[in-house]
Amino acid sequence: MATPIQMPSLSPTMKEGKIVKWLKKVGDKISSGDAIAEVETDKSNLEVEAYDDGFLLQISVPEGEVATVGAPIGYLGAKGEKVSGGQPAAAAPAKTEAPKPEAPKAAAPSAPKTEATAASGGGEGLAILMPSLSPTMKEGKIIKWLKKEGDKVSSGDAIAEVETDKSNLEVEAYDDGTLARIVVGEGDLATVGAPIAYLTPKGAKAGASAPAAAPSAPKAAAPQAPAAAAPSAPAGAQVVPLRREAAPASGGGGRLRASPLAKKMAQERGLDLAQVRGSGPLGRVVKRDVEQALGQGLAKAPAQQAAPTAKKAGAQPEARAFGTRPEPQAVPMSSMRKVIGQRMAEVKPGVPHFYLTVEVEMEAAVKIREEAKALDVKVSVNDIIVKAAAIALRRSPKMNVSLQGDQVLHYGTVDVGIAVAIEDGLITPVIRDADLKGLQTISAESRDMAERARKRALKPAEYTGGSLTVSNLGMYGIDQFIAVINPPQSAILAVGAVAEKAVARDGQVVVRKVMTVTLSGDHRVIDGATGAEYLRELKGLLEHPTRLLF
Amino acid sequence: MPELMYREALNQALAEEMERDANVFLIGEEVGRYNGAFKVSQGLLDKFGSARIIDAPISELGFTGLSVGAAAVGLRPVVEMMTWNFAILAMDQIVNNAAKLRHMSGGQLRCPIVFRGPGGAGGRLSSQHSQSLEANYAHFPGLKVIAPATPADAKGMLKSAIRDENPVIMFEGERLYALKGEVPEGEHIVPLGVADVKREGTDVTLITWSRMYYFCMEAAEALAKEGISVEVLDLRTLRPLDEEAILKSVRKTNRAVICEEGWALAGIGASVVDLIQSQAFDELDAPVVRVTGLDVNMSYAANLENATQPDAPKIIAAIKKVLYREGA
Repeated sequence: MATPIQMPSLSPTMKEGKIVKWLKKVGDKISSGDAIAEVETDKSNLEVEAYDDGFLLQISVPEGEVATVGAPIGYLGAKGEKVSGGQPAAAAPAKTEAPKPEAPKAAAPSAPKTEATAASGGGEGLAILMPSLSPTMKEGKIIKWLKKEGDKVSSGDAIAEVETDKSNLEVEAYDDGTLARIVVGEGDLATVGAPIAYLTPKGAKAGASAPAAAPSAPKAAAPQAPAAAAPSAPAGAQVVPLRREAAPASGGGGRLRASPLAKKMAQERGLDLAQVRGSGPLGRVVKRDVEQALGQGLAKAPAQQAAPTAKKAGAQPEARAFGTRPEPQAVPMSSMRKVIGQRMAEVKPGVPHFYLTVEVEMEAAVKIREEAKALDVKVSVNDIIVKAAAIALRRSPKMNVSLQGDQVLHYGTVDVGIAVAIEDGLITPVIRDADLKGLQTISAESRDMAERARKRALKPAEYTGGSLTVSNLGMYGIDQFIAVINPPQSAILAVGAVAEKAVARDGQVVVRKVMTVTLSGDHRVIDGATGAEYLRELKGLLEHPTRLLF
Repeated sequence: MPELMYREALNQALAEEMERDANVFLIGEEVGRYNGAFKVSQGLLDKFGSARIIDAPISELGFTGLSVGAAAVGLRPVVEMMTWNFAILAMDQIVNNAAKLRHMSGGQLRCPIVFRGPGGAGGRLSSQHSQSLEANYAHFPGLKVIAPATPADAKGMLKSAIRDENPVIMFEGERLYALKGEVPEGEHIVPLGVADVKREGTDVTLITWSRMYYFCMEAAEALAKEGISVEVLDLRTLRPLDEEAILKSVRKTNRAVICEEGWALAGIGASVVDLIQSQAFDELDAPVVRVTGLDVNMSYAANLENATQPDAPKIIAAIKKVLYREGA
């Protein structure tokens, strides 16, 4: 039975992913764990792994196209097997290619293109799948059906008894409805993930889901019913089990099983545990599974794939024919651009900002950099600012917070984000325990993470968490600016250039190296006075850096 | 550093402390003329005389009570129990007097006393003489309970115990006395209440004490060959528990296995599990697993005796279980 390969959720904010490249082709043999495609998310380029063994039967989302999280991007199954009714390219709501004047081929290749809803359910027949009931279980034998066709079934009802490699267990229904058809008889085997029966959900028309009543002709796919689009398949196709792929970790019980540590790690790093396959008993998600899921963040060679169109668009035409005026070129938004746009649009009305600005004399801080240079140690002014921002946070625990739901998280660690501009966007890798690290370490980590950010090779764990980000536009000669908070963080420091200015000191006009810093604070959790105290501490640390030592 | 047997290390500690403080004396069955049932007090009678190395009759309750009284009026007795199985007779004096004098007198009386002797299985001694009773004593406020595994710790902790102002229960082991290890000469003090990471590791914390320590090291050694890095934490003191050391290690490895020779129910390991689950729940990647003596009375038959006790293969299986490795 063909199994869909779904677009996984590879970052906390990912809603859709673009297939950069297929690493396998139709007909290739796949083993569980194989990287099968490279996907561009809003944050980085990652690989999608197969969870099952089999052959790649079909690629539903071609390279360059976008699929929403959870939508099938391809199908896996036995060699030579036909994907029953699987409609290619059912996934992409975002139209892909730039509208090129000569190409009215924007219309889907063959069959009428359908909307994403086709993939995410909404049909009438629900497949009941053979669950994974032990870590090593590959298939299960139906010992006994506890319900028969036509029986009413409630969510949680045991419907069949299954013999696994370890023991005999019961399979439960996840939905209310009527058992429409049993496809694996007593005494027969089914591989994990294969349908063993179909359920007509409560309220749905009976029969609609029964395989016998499968739409047999393309016309059954009524245009006004996009939800039913998936079965609009070649005639003679079997019914398409509109799969409700159980979250891998939910094993047999419908409940997500994960170790406390795995839950904590997932929460800290913004990973959706439901997307993680558990390798522990009964599918429990454990540390190594989370690490593996996070570790998939190692894109191999994303550079040339990252935003080729953007590059082209940005480049100056080398030679322009005299008298011609090229038309503006429409370039689709990259996944990252889309998320930045969406998030910023949410943040400004959603997070009440307040702003505090202070001028900082930077003579002493600049001297540190010079002294470091004399010692052949690379330290930038920004590294000193990060360190000072961290120490100030440590000393202002009221600032080291984050609003999460209706709870205020008070961090016990000081993690400082640094905004890194990359092609077509920005990302904020986080320096962990920045208050405890020396300037040299901060400097090395910043450079390493900025470098990898540009290659889109950061792991999700490296750009989540923390309460404050340092955003520095000083290198562009900006004197001062106001930054937008990067939630769930609660503050951001907008750092301007260090420039010589005439300032009044003790009644005299003198020239000093001055930098302007503006703090944006989330007024829901931080008040002006708190922010002001923080800035005073920061200013003091930067003007008298020996205080960093205490 | 000289290599000494566990019994020699204890002997050294006793001699050094008796030389240092004239109030220290040793009392027990066969400690004098016979030089100790397990030769811990070898030579001490000759050195310190019969006023300070006292051969007691076979009357555990009697000489224990006498010693508790001596401690209350200013001496520092070391009471040797031939084995802790016999000391059950003296438990009333230990629990109702030694552990409570200070509290019930509002601090007017002190009870600086050490009760020491072998615990655990000795080898074909059957059920009455093979018990690990440390959990019983660890239950009582007012007592400190120690169970060093190595000769160096035995010396350093006995010296600390003798200098402590409170009653200290010390579990040695018949199968430990002849084991050898490096022991620092002279003033070697190991503080009570401090656990010791005997082997650093990153994958799992293996918590133990006393003789089981050696099985744990054997298991850790074997697992290292499979690429599993085991941290062996020797508790050394069972009351008060070094909670910080336990939590620190578990927070590092995210997994714990506890190995104890005694029975599971109400064992020390049960309290360690309670500590871990209440203080480090979110750090755990797997339920804590305990390896304990089986819940039966000890058999005389050698094969059954071995089957009853923890050993390296049982510890290895437990570690694989918390690591979700196959074959567990």
